[in-house]
Amino acid sequence: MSILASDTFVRANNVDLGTSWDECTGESQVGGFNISSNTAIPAAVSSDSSETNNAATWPNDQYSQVTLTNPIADGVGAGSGPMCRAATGATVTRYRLIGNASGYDFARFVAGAYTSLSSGSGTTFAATNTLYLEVKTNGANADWICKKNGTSFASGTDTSPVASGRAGIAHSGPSTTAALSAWEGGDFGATVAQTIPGIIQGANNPMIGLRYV
Amino acid sequence: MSWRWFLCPIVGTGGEKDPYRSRLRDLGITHSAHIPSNPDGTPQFSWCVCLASANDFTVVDADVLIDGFPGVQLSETLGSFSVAVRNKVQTALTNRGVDLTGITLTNTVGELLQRAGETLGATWDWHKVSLL
Repeated sequence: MSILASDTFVRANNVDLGTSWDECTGESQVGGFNISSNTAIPAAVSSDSSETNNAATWPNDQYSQVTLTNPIADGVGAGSGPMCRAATGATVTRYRLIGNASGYDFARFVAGAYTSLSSGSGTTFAATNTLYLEVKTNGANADWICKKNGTSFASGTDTSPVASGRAGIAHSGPSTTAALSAWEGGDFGATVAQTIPGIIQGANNPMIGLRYV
Repeated sequence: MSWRWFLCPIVGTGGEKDPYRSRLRDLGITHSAHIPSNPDGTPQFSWCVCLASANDFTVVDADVLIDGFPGVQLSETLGSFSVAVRNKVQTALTNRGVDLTGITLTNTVGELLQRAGETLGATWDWHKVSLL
């Protein structure tokens, strides 16, 4: 894995996250996130909002991870978290994972149509916990993994996947508080070259075009 | 904590506070659902395959709209269950349009689950699904 972009949100309070971030204007709260006390906070905790990161050219195989500042038990389906393969502008198409002290929700959005693919109170989040989402192409599918503090708590394969987009951050309201103290997004690096097994391993080795007789 | 697989109705309108979701979510059960979508984001089917985790599945077992796969392990063969149990899951699957051609008593619950998932999406693979 390699980090393609990151943000600690340490800067002066502002209603804009900065030039590396683009607000998703199709959300119920078009203002995305603000900087407040060196964290990223939703522009309105009562509504949904999100921002995509433009500091990298995002590959289809990507991850996005946030550090939660102070998640509250606001119910399953509320809170902040990472996005993958998120469209820009007003098109609400992406994968979104949000969590709080009540639980989590992982979802696919297509043109605003929201489908919850995994959720529950089986995994909850506290201050300083990390929430990680990874999406990788697997043939016609997208394999996804959700992690808390580096440990997987849910995974699956989506047979009607969102194909591409940026990494970013998102919020689902209503929340009491839903601040983020850090974010990073990245890819999975170059494919490691595989050692071709010895030619006598198979009578006809299609990998190297030789025939063993 | 234990884990079980279910066939569940999809509920919701797809709205910001009313997602398309497995009925398990409304029962407060932690789960992952296989819900393929049409190009416009609406579900392709009215039902989904779900892996759920809970200490107590009483509320799920009491729901007449949800059907569970039998057994404790997916490696169990269908022949190890009673006729009543087999008939129940057969009815649940055929009612949802799952083609059971070729399924015999020597097939496993996992193979039955895979058949159900492939009805929703030909390339779905239950081995990819995990839940804490």
